[in-house]
Amino acid sequence: MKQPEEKPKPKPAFEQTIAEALKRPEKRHNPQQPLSDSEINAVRRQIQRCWNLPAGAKDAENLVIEVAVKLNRDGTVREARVVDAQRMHTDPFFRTAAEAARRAVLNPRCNPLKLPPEKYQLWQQMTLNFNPSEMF
Amino acid sequence: MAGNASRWLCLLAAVLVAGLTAATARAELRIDITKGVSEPIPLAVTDMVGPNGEPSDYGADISRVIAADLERSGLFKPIDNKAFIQKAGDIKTLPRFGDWRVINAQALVQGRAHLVTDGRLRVEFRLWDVFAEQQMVGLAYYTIPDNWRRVAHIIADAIYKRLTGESGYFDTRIVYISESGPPNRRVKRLAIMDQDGANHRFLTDGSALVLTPRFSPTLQEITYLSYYGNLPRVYIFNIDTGRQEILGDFPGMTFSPRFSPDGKKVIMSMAKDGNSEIYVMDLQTRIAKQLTRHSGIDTSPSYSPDSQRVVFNSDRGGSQQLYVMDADGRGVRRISYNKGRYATPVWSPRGDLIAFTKILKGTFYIGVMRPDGSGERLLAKDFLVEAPTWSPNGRVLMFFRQGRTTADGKGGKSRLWTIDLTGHNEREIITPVDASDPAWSPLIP
Amino acid sequence: MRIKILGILAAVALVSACETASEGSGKSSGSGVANAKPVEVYSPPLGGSAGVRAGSQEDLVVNVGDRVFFGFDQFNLTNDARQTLDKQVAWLKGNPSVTVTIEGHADERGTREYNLALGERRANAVKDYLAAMGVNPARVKTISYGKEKPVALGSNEAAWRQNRRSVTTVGGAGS
Repeated sequence: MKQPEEKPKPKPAFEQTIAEALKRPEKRHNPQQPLSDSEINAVRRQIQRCWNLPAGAKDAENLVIEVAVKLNRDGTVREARVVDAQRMHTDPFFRTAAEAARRAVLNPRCNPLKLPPEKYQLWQQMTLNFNPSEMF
Repeated sequence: MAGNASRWLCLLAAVLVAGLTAATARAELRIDITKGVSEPIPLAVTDMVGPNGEPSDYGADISRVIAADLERSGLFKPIDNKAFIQKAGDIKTLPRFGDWRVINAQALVQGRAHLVTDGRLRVEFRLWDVFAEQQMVGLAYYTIPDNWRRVAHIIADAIYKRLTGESGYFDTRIVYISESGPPNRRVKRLAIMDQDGANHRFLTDGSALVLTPRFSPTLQEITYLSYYGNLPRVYIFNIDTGRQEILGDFPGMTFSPRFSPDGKKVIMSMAKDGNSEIYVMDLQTRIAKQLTRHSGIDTSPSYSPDSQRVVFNSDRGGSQQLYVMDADGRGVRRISYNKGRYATPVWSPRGDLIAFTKILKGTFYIGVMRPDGSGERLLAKDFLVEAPTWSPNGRVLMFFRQGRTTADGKGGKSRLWTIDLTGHNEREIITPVDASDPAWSPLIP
Repeated sequence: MRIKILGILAAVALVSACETASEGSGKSSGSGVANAKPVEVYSPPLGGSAGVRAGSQEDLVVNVGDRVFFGFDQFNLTNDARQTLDKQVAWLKGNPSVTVTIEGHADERGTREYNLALGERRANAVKDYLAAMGVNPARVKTISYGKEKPVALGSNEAAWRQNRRSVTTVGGAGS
């Protein structure tokens, strides 16, 4: 798997775009189509593999973390920012959970995200909402 | 570790609900992540170096102890040094994060350890978030060189705390009963060691039977049961001075002592005319107050961390069960209602759970339940497991496990074990000889 | 309760009808009663086979019976236990200067602290019975050892049955 550099830069991904698009001829015709459930589920599965929850931590089930993600056209993560940055400074449990969520997004084993390049404008920014309540 | 890793449940599961809101033009894409994995965090603990980046004997030893602490917790997986691309390296320069990402180190520990001019040992470490390329914590300590293991444990605690959000438990000790000899002529001695088994020493000589030691939460003291002079009574042992002192002048056997969370009282059982009741003694005034009045057995009391309630063991309902009462003895209510007999309740230092021993159909279990008796979970089981004690962060339980004895007195091996609250990561604590009745100290002040 | 004195070393198997014992695991073996149930062995001091001193522990063991047994997690006295204790009462009345300590014991299938309490109950059940039968309670002390001092080894029901016991000892400590 390709490792992103320290500051991954957007790559000219024209060829890749074409290649991806050719793999999904059924979707090429309408780039304004929202992301399908299966496309979203694919992202979800990717991130979940790298979301390592602090099991057994007290009240961990109540820590919902929003991470704002900016993506390059090739699906690599350009920026991952914990939305409630303020709470990072005041709540060590929240900080731990937030950092775990951020690591899931930044982990080179779980990105680039597999998303259709022709819909880049739909996914170049997204918010990942890490909610562990179902885990406990 | 491979065996252990495979025991960590992969919690990855099928995706349930699509979190996509209807795609209006400006709608930002939101995806709910509702499942994850629970596995040890891979991290790199490099050998600490000298002031100019050169190898350091203290540094290598300290790093080894830090890595071993973190590994034993089951929450971290230190990466084998042989896999490192960037070797130790000095902390003056930024790590080459790419080199650490390649080997999947999510966190990186670097440091320096060297003697300074006044003969003290200076130890400094940095913890890095490799993916975010940020320093998470960096601290320096001065100590006498003989204290290098403690510094290592303190640093391991700092790393644990920074990465889990919870206090660590590595700078702690275990007091327990060391056992030797055949089952019918067992010699039992108080013994103490660091939580990793290092710095082991005996506190008593074995001439008197001793049982059930427990640490003071505030002082270097242990309360325990001794048969000194064939009178079973609760004693207090001062670790610093070695002084042993009988606690109170009671007409009957006193036993099952435990300190209150502020260390100012000892709660225990006293048996008079065959009936065991719970008493609490103020260590300042030495006045004892009776808390239970019932013809059943009342024993094994343990305070809640806020000192407001006491959980204890009683057979007043016909069999051994767990009961909770207010600290003044009022409001007794039974909390264990599942099948089996329950014993040795111990309130978690973080208050959310009570650990216990359970006996069901000839098998012993170590388990936990909430203080209202709900949410029972059994963590360990065997022919005989008994006497759970909490790590000071309420995250790990230690207990002892004793094997069967044959008719000629062989077997019956008794050893200490730890298990994570999640029920994973069960490990033996190595002791010189057989061991029972462990008690975990608080974090050393 | 019957008593057998076997062999030169005079190992004694105490056999009670409810806690039937059959075979000594100690220095000499006693073949015994019908089934292969638990073992109860007492080895008196060497040289003690000749003259047993009245009022001694050996006297109590050989001629009276020093122990009674209890059911699992029980402290009530069985009929057999009471028969043994009746003899102890007579013996104590016949040896009025003797004081005794009742040791209460439990098997290994309980937790340590509860077993200490249970042993205390068993010892006191015996003391109470002796007192009810006219023995001055000031002559009787009690001590509980819980599961700390098994007499029979082995993690099996036969051994556990022997270990759930009280033992009357001449003199001894306790409170």
